[in-house]
Amino acid sequence: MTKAAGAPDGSRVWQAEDGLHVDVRGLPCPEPLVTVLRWIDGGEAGDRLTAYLSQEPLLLYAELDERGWRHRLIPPSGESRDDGPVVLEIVRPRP
Amino acid sequence: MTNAGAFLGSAKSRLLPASIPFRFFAAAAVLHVALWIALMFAADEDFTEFRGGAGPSLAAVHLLTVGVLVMTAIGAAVQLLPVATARPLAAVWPVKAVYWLLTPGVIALVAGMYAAHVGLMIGGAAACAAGLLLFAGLFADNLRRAGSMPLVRAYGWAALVSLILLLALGLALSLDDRIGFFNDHGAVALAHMLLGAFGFMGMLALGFSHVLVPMFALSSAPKSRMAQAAFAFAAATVVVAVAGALLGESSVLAAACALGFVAMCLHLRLMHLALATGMRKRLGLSFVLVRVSWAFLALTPLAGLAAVEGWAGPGGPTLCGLVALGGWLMTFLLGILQRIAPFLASMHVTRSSGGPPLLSDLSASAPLTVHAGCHLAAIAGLAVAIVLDSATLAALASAVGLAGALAFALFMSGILKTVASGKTRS
Repeated sequence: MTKAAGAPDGSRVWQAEDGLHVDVRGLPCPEPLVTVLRWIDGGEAGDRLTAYLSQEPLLLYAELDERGWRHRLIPPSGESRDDGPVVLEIVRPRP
Repeated sequence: MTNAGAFLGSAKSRLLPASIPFRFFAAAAVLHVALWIALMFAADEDFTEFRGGAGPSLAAVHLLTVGVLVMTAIGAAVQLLPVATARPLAAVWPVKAVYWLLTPGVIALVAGMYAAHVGLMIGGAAACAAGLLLFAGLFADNLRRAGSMPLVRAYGWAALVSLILLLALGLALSLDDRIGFFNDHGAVALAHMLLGAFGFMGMLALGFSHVLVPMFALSSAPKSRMAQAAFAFAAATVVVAVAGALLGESSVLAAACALGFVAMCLHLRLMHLALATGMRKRLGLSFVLVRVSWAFLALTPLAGLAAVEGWAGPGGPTLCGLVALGGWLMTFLLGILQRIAPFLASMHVTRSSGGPPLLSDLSASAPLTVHAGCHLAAIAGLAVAIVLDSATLAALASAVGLAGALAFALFMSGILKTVASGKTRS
Protein backbone atom coordinates (compact mmCIF):
# COMPACT_ATOMS: atom_id res chain seq x y z
CA MET A 1 0.00 0.00 0.00
CA THR A 2 1.38 3.44 -0.88
CA LYS A 3 1.40 6.36 1.50
CA ALA A 4 -1.81 8.36 1.82
CA ALA A 5 -1.79 11.77 0.18
CA GLY A 6 -3.99 14.75 0.91
CA ALA A 7 -5.68 16.08 -2.21
CA PRO A 8 -6.32 19.82 -2.64
CA ASP A 9 -10.04 19.26 -1.99
CA GLY A 10 -9.31 17.82 1.48
CA SER A 11 -9.82 14.16 0.62
CA ARG A 12 -7.20 11.44 1.34
CA VAL A 13 -6.14 9.17 -1.47
CA TRP A 14 -3.96 6.07 -1.52
CA GLN A 15 -3.20 3.23 -3.86
CA ALA A 16 -3.53 -0.32 -2.55
CA GLU A 17 -3.22 -3.74 -4.14
CA ASP A 18 -6.95 -3.80 -4.82
CA GLY A 19 -7.03 -0.36 -6.45
CA LEU A 20 -7.43 3.27 -5.54
CA HIS A 21 -8.85 4.21 -2.12
CA VAL A 22 -10.39 7.65 -1.49
CA ASP A 23 -11.45 8.94 1.93
CA VAL A 24 -13.94 11.79 1.53
CA ARG A 25 -15.26 11.83 5.09
CA GLY A 26 -15.81 15.28 6.51
CA LEU A 27 -16.10 17.01 3.14
CA PRO A 28 -19.19 19.20 2.73
CA CYS A 29 -21.92 18.25 0.25
CA PRO A 30 -21.52 17.83 -2.73
CA GLU A 31 -17.72 17.40 -2.47
CA PRO A 32 -17.79 13.62 -1.70
CA LEU A 33 -19.84 13.01 -4.86
CA VAL A 34 -17.72 15.33 -7.00
CA THR A 35 -14.41 13.96 -5.68
CA VAL A 36 -15.29 10.32 -6.36
CA LEU A 37 -16.59 11.11 -9.84
CA ARG A 38 -13.51 13.21 -10.58
CA TRP A 39 -11.30 10.16 -9.95
CA ILE A 40 -13.56 7.95 -12.08
CA ASP A 41 -14.12 10.36 -14.97
CA GLY A 42 -10.45 11.35 -14.98
CA GLY A 43 -9.43 7.73 -15.51
CA GLU A 44 -7.12 7.61 -12.47
CA ALA A 45 -9.35 5.11 -10.70
CA GLY A 46 -8.80 2.47 -13.34
CA ASP A 47 -11.48 -0.21 -12.97
CA ARG A 48 -11.86 -0.19 -9.21
CA LEU A 49 -12.18 2.41 -6.47
CA THR A 50 -12.99 2.13 -2.78
CA ALA A 51 -14.59 5.21 -1.22
CA TYR A 52 -14.81 5.97 2.51
CA LEU A 53 -17.76 8.19 3.36
CA SER A 54 -19.48 9.70 6.40
CA GLN A 55 -22.92 8.50 5.29
CA GLU A 56 -24.55 6.45 2.59
CA PRO A 57 -23.86 8.30 -0.72
CA LEU A 58 -27.43 8.47 -1.98
CA LEU A 59 -26.63 11.10 -4.57
CA LEU A 60 -23.77 9.06 -6.03
CA TYR A 61 -25.68 5.93 -7.03
CA ALA A 62 -27.51 7.38 -10.05
CA GLU A 63 -24.27 8.93 -11.33
CA LEU A 64 -22.43 5.59 -11.09
CA ASP A 65 -25.31 3.74 -12.74
CA GLU A 66 -25.30 6.23 -15.63
CA ARG A 67 -21.59 5.55 -16.14
CA GLY A 68 -22.10 1.78 -16.07
CA TRP A 69 -20.13 1.31 -12.85
CA ARG A 70 -21.38 -1.13 -10.23
CA HIS A 71 -21.33 -0.34 -6.53
CA ARG A 72 -21.56 -2.31 -3.33
CA LEU A 73 -21.61 -1.20 0.29
CA ILE A 74 -19.18 -3.17 2.39
CA PRO A 75 -20.86 -4.29 5.64
CA PRO A 76 -19.10 -2.70 8.63
CA SER A 77 -17.18 -4.91 11.00
CA GLY A 78 -18.30 -5.19 14.64
CA GLU A 79 -16.60 -2.32 16.43
CA SER A 80 -16.72 0.14 13.51
CA ARG A 81 -20.45 -0.35 13.00
CA ASP A 82 -21.41 2.97 14.59
CA ASP A 83 -18.34 5.16 14.37
CA GLY A 84 -16.57 3.80 11.30
CA PRO A 85 -16.88 4.97 7.74
CA VAL A 86 -19.41 3.85 5.17
CA VAL A 87 -17.30 1.92 2.68
CA LEU A 88 -18.43 1.79 -0.96
CA GLU A 89 -16.70 -0.51 -3.41
CA ILE A 90 -17.06 0.78 -6.98
CA VAL A 91 -16.16 -1.43 -9.94
CA ARG A 92 -16.28 -1.00 -13.70
CA PRO A 93 -17.50 -4.35 -15.10
CA ARG A 94 -15.31 -5.83 -17.80
CA PRO A 95 -17.04 -6.01 -21.20
CA MET B 1 -24.85 -5.02 -5.86
CA THR B 2 -26.85 -3.46 -3.06
CA ASN B 3 -29.41 -0.82 -3.75
CA ALA B 4 -29.60 1.07 -0.52
CA GLY B 5 -27.52 -0.65 2.09
CA ALA B 6 -30.17 -1.94 4.43
CA PHE B 7 -27.54 -2.91 6.98
CA LEU B 8 -26.69 0.74 7.55
CA GLY B 9 -30.04 1.26 9.21
CA SER B 10 -30.97 4.85 9.96
CA ALA B 11 -27.63 5.81 11.45
CA LYS B 12 -25.78 6.29 8.17
CA SER B 13 -28.51 6.13 5.54
CA ARG B 14 -30.51 9.30 4.90
CA LEU B 15 -32.95 7.70 2.45
CA LEU B 16 -36.55 8.43 3.40
CA PRO B 17 -39.45 6.27 2.20
CA ALA B 18 -40.35 7.40 -1.33
CA SER B 19 -43.83 8.40 -0.21
CA ILE B 20 -42.42 11.18 1.97
CA PRO B 21 -40.90 13.56 -0.60
CA PHE B 22 -43.14 12.43 -3.46
CA ARG B 23 -46.38 13.25 -1.64
CA PHE B 24 -45.28 16.90 -1.61
CA PHE B 25 -44.19 16.78 -5.26
CA ALA B 26 -47.53 15.24 -6.27
CA ALA B 27 -49.44 17.94 -4.36
CA ALA B 28 -47.30 20.63 -5.98
CA ALA B 29 -48.02 19.22 -9.46
CA VAL B 30 -51.78 19.19 -8.83
CA LEU B 31 -51.83 22.66 -7.28
CA HIS B 32 -49.71 23.88 -10.20
CA VAL B 33 -52.60 22.94 -12.50
CA ALA B 34 -55.05 24.66 -10.13
CA LEU B 35 -52.86 27.79 -10.16
CA TRP B 36 -53.21 28.30 -13.90
CA ILE B 37 -56.97 27.61 -13.75
CA ALA B 38 -57.30 30.22 -11.00
CA LEU B 39 -55.27 32.66 -13.09
CA MET B 40 -57.68 32.18 -16.02
CA PHE B 41 -60.51 33.32 -13.73
CA ALA B 42 -58.36 36.05 -12.17
CA ALA B 43 -57.59 37.44 -15.63
CA ASP B 44 -61.21 38.55 -15.95
CA GLU B 45 -61.10 40.28 -12.58
CA ASP B 46 -58.20 42.42 -11.39
CA PHE B 47 -55.09 40.35 -12.19
CA THR B 48 -53.25 42.87 -14.39
CA GLU B 49 -53.42 45.53 -11.69
CA PHE B 50 -53.69 43.33 -8.61
CA ARG B 51 -53.05 45.17 -5.33
CA GLY B 52 -54.28 42.64 -2.81
CA GLY B 53 -57.68 41.84 -1.36
CA ALA B 54 -59.66 38.61 -1.53
CA GLY B 55 -60.57 37.20 -4.93
CA PRO B 56 -59.20 34.93 -7.66
CA SER B 57 -55.92 36.86 -7.97
CA LEU B 58 -55.07 36.45 -4.26
CA ALA B 59 -56.05 32.78 -4.50
CA ALA B 60 -53.76 32.34 -7.52
CA VAL B 61 -50.84 34.02 -5.71
CA HIS B 62 -51.22 31.62 -2.77
CA LEU B 63 -51.64 28.59 -5.04
CA LEU B 64 -48.27 29.58 -6.48
CA THR B 65 -46.49 30.40 -3.23
CA VAL B 66 -47.87 27.88 -0.74
CA GLY B 67 -49.20 25.33 -3.23
CA VAL B 68 -46.34 25.07 -5.72
CA LEU B 69 -43.25 26.74 -4.26
CA VAL B 70 -43.54 25.71 -0.60
CA MET B 71 -44.75 22.15 -1.37
CA THR B 72 -41.83 21.62 -3.76
CA ALA B 73 -39.34 23.14 -1.35
CA ILE B 74 -40.50 21.00 1.59
CA GLY B 75 -40.47 17.80 -0.47
CA ALA B 76 -36.93 18.51 -1.63
CA ALA B 77 -35.71 19.81 1.72
CA VAL B 78 -36.82 16.84 3.84
CA GLN B 79 -34.83 14.45 1.62
CA LEU B 80 -31.88 16.64 0.64
CA LEU B 81 -31.22 18.64 3.82
CA PRO B 82 -30.27 15.55 5.89
CA VAL B 83 -28.00 14.46 3.01
CA ALA B 84 -26.39 17.90 2.79
CA THR B 85 -25.92 18.37 6.54
CA ALA B 86 -25.06 14.68 7.15
CA ARG B 87 -27.57 14.68 10.00
CA PRO B 88 -30.79 12.60 9.92
CA LEU B 89 -34.20 14.12 10.51
CA ALA B 90 -35.30 13.91 14.14
CA ALA B 91 -38.27 11.78 13.04
CA VAL B 92 -40.28 11.02 9.93
CA TRP B 93 -43.81 11.25 11.35
CA PRO B 94 -43.71 15.06 11.73
CA VAL B 95 -43.10 15.33 7.98
CA LYS B 96 -46.31 13.38 7.36
CA ALA B 97 -48.09 15.68 9.82
CA VAL B 98 -46.74 18.72 7.92
CA TYR B 99 -48.29 17.32 4.74
CA TRP B 100 -51.65 16.59 6.35
CA LEU B 101 -51.82 20.08 7.84
CA LEU B 102 -50.52 21.93 4.80
CA THR B 103 -52.51 20.24 2.03
CA PRO B 104 -56.02 20.78 3.41
CA GLY B 105 -54.80 24.09 4.82
CA VAL B 106 -53.77 25.50 1.46
CA ILE B 107 -56.99 24.23 -0.17
CA ALA B 108 -59.10 25.95 2.51
CA LEU B 109 -56.97 29.10 2.37
CA VAL B 110 -57.20 29.39 -1.39
CA ALA B 111 -60.91 28.56 -1.46
CA GLY B 112 -61.50 31.20 1.22
CA MET B 113 -59.52 33.78 -0.72
CA TYR B 114 -61.25 32.91 -3.99
CA ALA B 115 -64.73 33.17 -2.46
CA ALA B 116 -63.82 35.97 0.01
CA HIS B 117 -64.93 33.66 2.84
CA VAL B 118 -63.15 34.93 5.96
CA GLY B 119 -63.82 31.82 8.07
CA LEU B 120 -62.27 29.50 5.47
CA MET B 121 -59.35 31.89 5.10
CA ILE B 122 -58.65 31.93 8.86
CA GLY B 123 -59.02 28.15 9.16
CA GLY B 124 -56.78 27.56 6.15
CA ALA B 125 -54.20 30.06 7.34
CA ALA B 126 -54.15 28.45 10.81
CA ALA B 127 -53.65 24.94 9.35
CA CYS B 128 -50.92 26.19 6.98
CA ALA B 129 -49.22 28.04 9.83
CA ALA B 130 -49.31 24.92 12.05
CA GLY B 131 -47.86 22.76 9.27
CA LEU B 132 -45.16 25.25 8.40
CA LEU B 133 -44.22 25.78 12.06
CA LEU B 134 -43.80 22.02 12.41
CA PHE B 135 -41.60 22.03 9.30
CA ALA B 136 -39.67 24.99 10.74
CA GLY B 137 -39.04 22.98 13.92
CA LEU B 138 -37.68 20.00 11.95
CA PHE B 139 -35.62 22.29 9.74
CA ALA B 140 -34.19 24.21 12.72
CA ASP B 141 -33.33 21.00 14.57
CA ASN B 142 -31.41 19.68 11.57
CA LEU B 143 -29.59 22.98 10.97
CA ARG B 144 -28.69 23.19 14.67
CA ARG B 145 -27.04 19.76 14.60
CA ALA B 146 -25.20 20.37 11.30
CA GLY B 147 -21.47 20.86 11.85
CA SER B 148 -20.40 21.95 8.38
CA MET B 149 -21.60 24.11 5.51
CA PRO B 150 -21.83 27.43 7.39
CA LEU B 151 -23.02 29.31 4.33
CA VAL B 152 -25.90 26.96 3.54
CA ARG B 153 -26.83 27.00 7.23
CA ALA B 154 -26.82 30.80 7.23
CA TYR B 155 -29.25 30.84 4.32
CA GLY B 156 -31.33 28.21 6.12
CA TRP B 157 -31.54 30.24 9.34
CA ALA B 158 -32.44 33.38 7.40
CA ALA B 159 -35.20 31.46 5.60
CA LEU B 160 -36.42 30.11 8.92
CA VAL B 161 -36.64 33.51 10.62
CA SER B 162 -38.44 34.85 7.55
CA LEU B 163 -40.88 31.94 7.69
CA ILE B 164 -41.79 32.64 11.31
CA LEU B 165 -42.38 36.34 10.59
CA LEU B 166 -44.22 35.50 7.38
CA LEU B 167 -46.58 33.16 9.23
CA ALA B 168 -47.22 35.67 12.00
CA LEU B 169 -48.08 38.39 9.51
CA GLY B 170 -50.13 36.00 7.34
CA LEU B 171 -52.23 34.86 10.26
CA ALA B 172 -52.65 38.46 11.45
CA LEU B 173 -53.73 39.52 7.95
CA SER B 174 -56.39 36.82 7.80
CA LEU B 175 -57.69 37.86 11.25
CA ASP B 176 -57.57 41.54 10.21
CA ASP B 177 -60.10 40.74 7.49
CA ARG B 178 -62.59 39.96 10.29
CA ILE B 179 -61.49 42.27 13.13
CA GLY B 180 -59.75 45.12 11.34
CA PHE B 181 -56.86 46.12 13.62
CA PHE B 182 -54.18 47.14 11.09
CA ASN B 183 -54.04 50.81 10.15
CA ASP B 184 -52.49 49.92 6.82
CA HIS B 185 -53.49 46.40 5.74
CA GLY B 186 -51.72 46.90 2.39
CA ALA B 187 -48.36 47.71 4.00
CA VAL B 188 -48.48 44.57 6.14
CA ALA B 189 -49.57 42.52 3.12
CA LEU B 190 -46.58 43.85 1.18
CA ALA B 191 -44.22 42.94 4.05
CA HIS B 192 -45.83 39.46 4.15
CA MET B 193 -45.27 39.07 0.41
CA LEU B 194 -41.65 40.26 0.61
CA LEU B 195 -40.91 37.87 3.49
CA GLY B 196 -42.46 34.99 1.54
CA ALA B 197 -40.87 35.67 -1.84
CA PHE B 198 -37.42 36.90 -0.84
CA GLY B 199 -37.09 35.90 2.82
CA PHE B 200 -38.38 32.34 2.97
CA MET B 201 -38.46 31.02 -0.60
CA GLY B 202 -35.73 33.31 -1.89
CA MET B 203 -33.24 32.41 0.83
CA LEU B 204 -34.05 28.70 0.45
CA ALA B 205 -33.56 28.89 -3.32
CA LEU B 206 -30.29 30.80 -2.99
CA GLY B 207 -28.98 28.54 -0.22
CA PHE B 208 -29.88 25.23 -1.86
CA SER B 209 -28.34 26.54 -5.11
CA HIS B 210 -24.97 26.30 -3.36
CA VAL B 211 -25.50 22.54 -3.05
CA LEU B 212 -27.71 21.61 -6.00
CA VAL B 213 -26.02 23.54 -8.80
CA PRO B 214 -22.51 22.18 -8.02
CA MET B 215 -24.06 18.73 -7.48
CA PHE B 216 -25.61 18.67 -10.95
CA ALA B 217 -22.71 20.44 -12.67
CA LEU B 218 -20.20 18.27 -10.73
CA SER B 219 -18.18 21.19 -9.45
CA SER B 220 -17.02 22.36 -6.04
CA ALA B 221 -19.41 24.35 -3.89
CA PRO B 222 -18.76 28.12 -3.80
CA LYS B 223 -16.94 28.93 -0.57
CA SER B 224 -15.20 32.19 -1.25
CA ARG B 225 -15.66 35.54 0.44
CA MET B 226 -17.83 36.42 -2.51
CA ALA B 227 -20.30 33.76 -1.34
CA GLN B 228 -20.36 35.26 2.17
CA ALA B 229 -20.86 38.75 0.72
CA ALA B 230 -23.70 37.46 -1.47
CA PHE B 231 -25.46 36.10 1.63
CA ALA B 232 -24.91 39.36 3.55
CA PHE B 233 -26.38 41.45 0.74
CA ALA B 234 -29.31 39.04 0.25
CA ALA B 235 -30.16 39.10 3.96
CA ALA B 236 -29.81 42.89 4.08
CA THR B 237 -32.13 43.15 1.08
CA VAL B 238 -34.89 41.29 2.91
CA VAL B 239 -34.49 43.28 6.14
CA VAL B 240 -34.49 46.66 4.39
CA ALA B 241 -37.34 45.71 2.04
CA VAL B 242 -39.59 44.57 4.90
CA ALA B 243 -38.75 47.70 6.89
CA GLY B 244 -39.55 49.84 3.86
CA ALA B 245 -42.89 48.09 3.38
CA LEU B 246 -43.94 48.45 7.03
CA LEU B 247 -42.79 52.09 7.18
CA GLY B 248 -44.39 52.89 3.84
CA GLU B 249 -41.14 54.55 2.73
CA SER B 250 -40.47 54.26 -0.99
CA SER B 251 -36.88 55.47 -0.54
CA VAL B 252 -36.19 52.52 1.80
CA LEU B 253 -37.79 50.12 -0.69
CA ALA B 254 -35.59 51.63 -3.43
CA ALA B 255 -32.52 51.06 -1.22
CA ALA B 256 -33.60 47.41 -0.87
CA CYS B 257 -33.71 47.14 -4.66
CA ALA B 258 -30.12 48.46 -4.82
CA LEU B 259 -28.97 45.93 -2.20
CA GLY B 260 -30.84 43.20 -4.05
CA PHE B 261 -29.09 44.16 -7.27
CA VAL B 262 -25.67 43.63 -5.64
CA ALA B 263 -26.81 40.33 -4.07
CA MET B 264 -28.13 39.16 -7.43
CA CYS B 265 -24.88 40.05 -9.26
CA LEU B 266 -22.78 38.18 -6.69
CA HIS B 267 -25.06 35.13 -6.69
CA LEU B 268 -25.13 34.89 -10.47
CA ARG B 269 -21.35 35.25 -10.62
CA LEU B 270 -21.00 32.36 -8.13
CA MET B 271 -23.41 30.20 -10.10
CA HIS B 272 -21.57 31.02 -13.34
CA LEU B 273 -18.31 29.92 -11.72
CA ALA B 274 -19.91 26.68 -10.48
CA LEU B 275 -21.14 25.86 -13.98
CA ALA B 276 -17.92 26.94 -15.70
CA THR B 277 -15.74 24.76 -13.47
CA GLY B 278 -18.11 21.77 -13.51
CA MET B 279 -17.21 18.45 -15.11
CA ARG B 280 -20.67 18.18 -16.66
CA LYS B 281 -21.34 20.73 -19.38
CA ARG B 282 -24.55 19.34 -20.85
CA LEU B 283 -27.12 19.92 -18.16
CA GLY B 284 -30.25 19.38 -20.23
CA LEU B 285 -33.64 21.03 -20.30
CA SER B 286 -33.89 21.49 -16.54
CA PHE B 287 -30.97 23.88 -16.62
CA VAL B 288 -32.48 25.80 -19.52
CA LEU B 289 -35.24 26.62 -17.05
CA VAL B 290 -32.72 27.31 -14.28
CA ARG B 291 -30.79 29.71 -16.54
CA VAL B 292 -34.02 31.47 -17.57
CA SER B 293 -34.93 31.75 -13.88
CA TRP B 294 -31.59 33.47 -13.27
CA ALA B 295 -32.43 35.95 -16.05
CA PHE B 296 -35.66 36.71 -14.19
CA LEU B 297 -33.69 37.01 -10.95
CA ALA B 298 -31.52 39.60 -12.70
CA LEU B 299 -34.65 41.51 -13.70
CA THR B 300 -36.23 41.36 -10.24
CA PRO B 301 -34.43 44.34 -8.58
CA LEU B 302 -35.03 46.43 -11.70
CA ALA B 303 -38.72 45.47 -11.78
CA GLY B 304 -38.89 46.27 -8.06
CA LEU B 305 -37.36 49.70 -8.56
CA ALA B 306 -39.68 50.38 -11.49
CA ALA B 307 -42.66 49.46 -9.28
CA VAL B 308 -41.47 51.59 -6.34
CA GLU B 309 -40.78 54.64 -8.50
CA GLY B 310 -43.93 54.23 -10.60
CA TRP B 311 -41.97 53.89 -13.85
CA ALA B 312 -43.88 50.77 -14.91
CA GLY B 313 -47.35 52.29 -14.64
CA PRO B 314 -50.25 50.97 -12.59
CA GLY B 315 -49.31 47.35 -13.34
CA GLY B 316 -45.75 47.81 -12.02
CA PRO B 317 -46.21 46.01 -8.66
CA THR B 318 -48.00 43.10 -10.35
CA LEU B 319 -45.23 42.89 -12.95
CA CYS B 320 -42.61 42.85 -10.20
CA GLY B 321 -44.50 40.03 -8.43
CA LEU B 322 -44.72 38.07 -11.68
CA VAL B 323 -40.99 38.48 -12.39
CA ALA B 324 -39.96 37.41 -8.86
CA LEU B 325 -42.53 34.71 -8.06
CA GLY B 326 -43.33 33.32 -11.49
CA GLY B 327 -40.22 34.15 -13.49
CA TRP B 328 -37.52 33.50 -10.91
CA LEU B 329 -38.82 31.22 -8.15
CA MET B 330 -41.38 29.07 -10.01
CA THR B 331 -39.14 28.59 -13.06
CA PHE B 332 -36.16 27.75 -10.83
CA LEU B 333 -38.04 25.27 -8.64
CA LEU B 334 -39.76 23.50 -11.54
CA GLY B 335 -36.39 23.22 -13.28
CA ILE B 336 -34.82 21.73 -10.16
CA LEU B 337 -37.85 19.50 -9.45
CA GLN B 338 -37.73 17.89 -12.90
CA ARG B 339 -34.08 17.09 -12.18
CA ILE B 340 -34.33 15.77 -8.64
CA ALA B 341 -37.58 13.80 -8.98
CA PRO B 342 -36.02 11.17 -11.33
CA PHE B 343 -32.88 11.26 -9.16
CA LEU B 344 -34.83 10.44 -6.01
CA ALA B 345 -37.05 7.92 -7.81
CA SER B 346 -33.98 6.02 -9.03
CA MET B 347 -33.12 5.23 -5.42
CA HIS B 348 -36.39 3.38 -4.93
CA VAL B 349 -36.82 1.34 -8.10
CA THR B 350 -35.11 -1.37 -10.12
CA ARG B 351 -35.00 -1.82 -13.86
CA SER B 352 -37.54 -4.27 -15.35
CA SER B 353 -34.84 -5.65 -17.62
CA GLY B 354 -32.52 -6.07 -14.64
CA GLY B 355 -29.82 -3.92 -13.12
CA PRO B 356 -30.04 -0.44 -11.71
CA PRO B 357 -32.41 2.15 -13.24
CA LEU B 358 -30.99 4.90 -15.43
CA LEU B 359 -32.13 8.49 -15.03
CA SER B 360 -33.08 8.44 -18.71
CA ASP B 361 -35.62 5.68 -17.91
CA LEU B 362 -37.34 8.06 -15.53
CA SER B 363 -37.18 11.38 -17.40
CA ALA B 364 -40.04 11.70 -19.88
CA SER B 365 -38.64 14.24 -22.33
CA ALA B 366 -41.77 15.05 -24.35
CA PRO B 367 -43.97 16.29 -21.46
CA LEU B 368 -41.03 18.26 -20.05
CA THR B 369 -40.37 19.91 -23.41
CA VAL B 370 -44.04 20.85 -23.72
CA HIS B 371 -44.02 22.15 -20.15
CA ALA B 372 -40.91 24.27 -20.64
CA GLY B 373 -42.22 25.86 -23.83
CA CYS B 374 -45.68 26.55 -22.39
CA HIS B 375 -44.32 27.79 -19.06
CA LEU B 376 -41.98 30.34 -20.60
CA ALA B 377 -44.60 31.46 -23.14
CA ALA B 378 -47.15 31.86 -20.34
CA ILE B 379 -44.86 33.96 -18.15
CA ALA B 380 -43.95 36.16 -21.13
CA GLY B 381 -47.61 36.42 -22.11
CA LEU B 382 -48.66 37.43 -18.60
CA ALA B 383 -45.93 40.09 -18.54
CA VAL B 384 -47.19 41.58 -21.80
CA ALA B 385 -50.78 41.34 -20.53
CA ILE B 386 -49.86 43.32 -17.40
CA VAL B 387 -48.03 46.01 -19.41
CA LEU B 388 -50.94 46.33 -21.88
CA ASP B 389 -53.56 45.81 -19.13
CA SER B 390 -55.18 43.16 -21.31
CA ALA B 391 -57.49 40.67 -19.58
CA THR B 392 -57.88 38.69 -22.81
CA LEU B 393 -54.13 38.24 -23.21
CA ALA B 394 -53.80 37.30 -19.52
CA ALA B 395 -56.48 34.61 -19.95
CA LEU B 396 -54.79 33.32 -23.11
CA ALA B 397 -51.39 33.18 -21.39
CA SER B 398 -52.96 31.36 -18.44
CA ALA B 399 -54.46 28.77 -20.81
CA VAL B 400 -50.98 28.18 -22.26
CA GLY B 401 -49.62 27.89 -18.71
CA LEU B 402 -52.37 25.36 -17.93
CA ALA B 403 -51.28 23.22 -20.89
CA GLY B 404 -47.73 23.32 -19.54
CA ALA B 405 -48.89 22.43 -16.03
CA LEU B 406 -50.84 19.44 -17.36
CA ALA B 407 -47.72 18.26 -19.21
CA PHE B 408 -45.70 18.60 -16.01
CA ALA B 409 -48.38 16.68 -14.08
CA LEU B 410 -48.12 13.93 -16.73
CA PHE B 411 -44.36 13.75 -16.17
CA MET B 412 -44.83 13.59 -12.40
CA SER B 413 -47.59 10.96 -12.62
CA GLY B 414 -45.25 8.79 -14.72
CA ILE B 415 -42.60 8.99 -12.01
CA LEU B 416 -45.14 8.29 -9.27
CA LYS B 417 -46.39 5.19 -11.13
CA THR B 418 -42.82 3.95 -11.50
CA VAL B 419 -42.06 4.54 -7.83
CA ALA B 420 -45.30 2.84 -6.79
CA SER B 421 -44.57 -0.23 -8.93
CA GLY B 422 -40.91 -0.32 -7.89
CA LYS B 423 -39.80 -1.02 -11.48
CA THR B 424 -39.07 1.03 -14.60
CA ARG B 425 -40.85 0.21 -17.88
CA SER B 426 -37.73 -0.92 -19.71
